[in-house]
Amino acid sequence: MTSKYKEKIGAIIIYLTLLVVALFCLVPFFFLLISSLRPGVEMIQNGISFQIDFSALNLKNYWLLVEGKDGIYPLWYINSVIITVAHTVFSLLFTSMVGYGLAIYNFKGKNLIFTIVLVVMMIPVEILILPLYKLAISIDLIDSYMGVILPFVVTPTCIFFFRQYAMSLPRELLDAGRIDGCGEFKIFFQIMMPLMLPAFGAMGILQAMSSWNSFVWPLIVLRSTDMLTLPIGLQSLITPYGNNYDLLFPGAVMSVIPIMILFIINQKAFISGLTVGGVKG
Amino acid sequence: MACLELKNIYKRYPGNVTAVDNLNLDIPDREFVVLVGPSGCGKSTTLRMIAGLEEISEGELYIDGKMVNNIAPKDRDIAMVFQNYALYPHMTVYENMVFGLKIRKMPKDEMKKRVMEAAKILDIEHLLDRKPKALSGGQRQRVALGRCIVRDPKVFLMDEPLSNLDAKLRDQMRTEISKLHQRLQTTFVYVTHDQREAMTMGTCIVVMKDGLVQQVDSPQVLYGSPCNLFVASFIGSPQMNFVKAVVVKKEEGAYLTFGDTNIQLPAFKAKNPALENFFDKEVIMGIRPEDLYDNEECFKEFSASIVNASIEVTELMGAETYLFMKVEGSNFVARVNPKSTAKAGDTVKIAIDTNKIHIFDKDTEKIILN
Repeated sequence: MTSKYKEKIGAIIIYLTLLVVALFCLVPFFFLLISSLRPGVEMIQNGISFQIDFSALNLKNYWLLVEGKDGIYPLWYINSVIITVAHTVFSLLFTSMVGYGLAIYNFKGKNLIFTIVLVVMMIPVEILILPLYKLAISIDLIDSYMGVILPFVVTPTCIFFFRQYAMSLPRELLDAGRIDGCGEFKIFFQIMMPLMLPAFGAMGILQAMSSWNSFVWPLIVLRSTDMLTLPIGLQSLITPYGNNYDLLFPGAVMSVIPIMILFIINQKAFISGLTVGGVKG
Repeated sequence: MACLELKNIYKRYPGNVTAVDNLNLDIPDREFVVLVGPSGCGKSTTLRMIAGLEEISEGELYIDGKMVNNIAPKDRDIAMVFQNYALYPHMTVYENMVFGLKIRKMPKDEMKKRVMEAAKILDIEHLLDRKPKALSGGQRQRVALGRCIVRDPKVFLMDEPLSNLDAKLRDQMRTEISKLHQRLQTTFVYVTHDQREAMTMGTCIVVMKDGLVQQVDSPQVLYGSPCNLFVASFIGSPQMNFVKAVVVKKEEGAYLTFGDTNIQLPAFKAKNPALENFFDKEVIMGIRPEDLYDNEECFKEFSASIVNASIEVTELMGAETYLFMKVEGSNFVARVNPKSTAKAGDTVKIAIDTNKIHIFDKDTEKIILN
């Protein structure tokens, strides 16, 4: 057997294995999609059935999602979008600035601040919930967008990531910017930020995903039904007296779509952002 | 156009490290000054202090008579070319060139006019829409120069701008920068560790070592009359040959003796009062490779200064040949005619042009006589 032939067979085996793994990952999504197009009663009667009557599939549940329960689902959707966008934008802005500052500038206490960032990274979120809740009450943030966004807007993981990325930026650009007449903010926004786009892509997806899927903290802070976010709203459809599958499945499908779009758009930046430390050193 | 004045400049870093030690320098208007020295001698630090990118620990810096110690780089009216070009990768060549002008809120028409003029000078008009990653090293360097030209600054600062280019391109860009200086008639301060660049480009060269200025002079003076052993060895390639010798005074004149060799110094050197304190003492004799000869005519001319040399390696450079050899146990290099028949393993006679001998104090390493 020639080495070229061997390589080809090796590639086929690799691709087949990847295909099986990909199919395995897609099965739950497939059933979620199919179930969202079937009446919820079928789910209660048959459970997850492999016998699919494609002619019986329809978009009735999706219509119900918009119309049913006084149109509360679209409201949850809007809440989730507002919170996710605001959280992601502010988080990227602030953490990139902190990370950049820690990487580029030399100042007293820089190492101490970075050590604190590393230490905070190791503290589980659950430990912070109670003090954060008390703080949220004291500054009147309960049942508000700000209450959900503010406590986790500056995350140590993001700071760490941006710092590592900014360490690889050429310092001469900083000097060139200063000579060209830029102040420090202009250097950051007009010169360095565009160079940090892969990092923004990667952190953008991670932050948006964590914010979109965030459950525990919004559950604690948000109280009124019309302020709920998608995960909490959907969870409220699961009750001890029966689960509203007619809304639950299409709701879950719709909630996956924004993250998928975000990932598809940002895929390239996401991957180059995550591999940067390893490849460039 | 501006003159620069550096008065008692010091740069100290934490840990009591002095990078620049009491630097005094007057750079007249339109001069092409080259700061040259080995790595870590403080030349780049000096340039960065002039640019305002490094704080001056002590001393005063004047640009056109105005003290600028506490003035931000953007307000010093300087432009700088960096070793790695420092072009903004996300901007096109045009955007790179106008960036500094945009920050200064210059009218669009004027910006365009300046960019087109600079692009024409540097022959990069066809590259204006490209991003830096689509340019070769030489093109990037031209864009970096263009970015400075459009600013029309008082002083051009260049920090080893050719060190990332290959040898051929470096030679070409060297000429272009010299031409640019003649054309723009502006003050240039250029940093390099390459003495060849310094010699070919500078109208004035500042040789630095360990943060101290060793000598400030024109290339000709530096080469012909170095002030100490360091300058003599740093300037010139191949470097000057050195050998420890004793100055011996005899009735017929003064001799330099090393090993079994005696070289008679010419009368004007032997009678130089500076030599009087060194009779019967050990000194360091220096002679440039081109002042050593291996042809018959020179043997007659310098009959009192012929030494035996064993050739170790010969290097034919095209227009000349380098002979690497041992003379009385010391390594010597001679730059001779390419027609020379000497080859490795030969023992040949070498004539020394005694008029060109340099003598250095062995202890202080300062020049005794050139």
